[in-house]
Amino acid sequence: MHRPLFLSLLIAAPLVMNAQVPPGVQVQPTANMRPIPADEAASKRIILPGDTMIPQIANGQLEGGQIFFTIFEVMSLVGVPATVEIRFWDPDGNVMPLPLAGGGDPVKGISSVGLQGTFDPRGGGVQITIATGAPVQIGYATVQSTPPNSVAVIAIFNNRGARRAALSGIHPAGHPSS
Amino acid sequence: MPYLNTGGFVTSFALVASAAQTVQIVARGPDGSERCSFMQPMSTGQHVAILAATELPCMVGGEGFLDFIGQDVGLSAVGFTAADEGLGAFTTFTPWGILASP
Repeated sequence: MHRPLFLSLLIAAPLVMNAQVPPGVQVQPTANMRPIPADEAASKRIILPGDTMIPQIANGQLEGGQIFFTIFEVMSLVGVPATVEIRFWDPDGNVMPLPLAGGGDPVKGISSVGLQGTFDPRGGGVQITIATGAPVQIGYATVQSTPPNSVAVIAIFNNRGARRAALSGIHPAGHPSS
Repeated sequence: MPYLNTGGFVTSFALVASAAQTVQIVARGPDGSERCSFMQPMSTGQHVAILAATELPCMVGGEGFLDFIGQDVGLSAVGFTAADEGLGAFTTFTPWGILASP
């Protein structure tokens, strides 16, 4: 019997990130990922009010050749410029750098630890595709936006071997609120 | 969250804790009766991904739904139901999250 897909997600991988910015979308180069304040770092309280949670991401190649990768789609919902920050975390809540093809794309605000960019009002959004090639990595992602709740986010798991994908997150469904 | 562990389908889920807590996961049958449960300790910011039937043996070969009972300090989750390769199906349950009360 083949290994069910979920098993792959429970294990997860390496990657490559590619960003495709639709016409009219502005993604400004910024320093990537704000530092976690000392008080947060001390408690590892990295999930903040206003975060959108993607409780599972999976990237990498499993034994047998199955490859999983996660695609993030982000879209601005508001009539003013919206900044968004996606951060990747490992199962212990530590920063989880993901290896990127070519080291990421600083112009688009994409680095191994996530994305930080600004979208035009009601901009089309940005797609981050994290491909894989090496050992599996799993964890989760947080998404913060300014103004709060100004972006819609989905994450899609892809399984190249099985030609199937799954939607993993939709804002505001995964949005913890205080 | 509904689960389905028959016909080649298997259910799993992932949790992320905003703060340290112990999460009780209860498996219930289609009639709502409790079948089995387990406690999952979690530290702040921790992520776990669990093949449900490994921790909840009563789910093997069955269907029903799962209750996730946290401690009002913040918890996010997403569920998956996947099929064997021959079927190729994959369903993701809507993620949800509850942050602690101020």
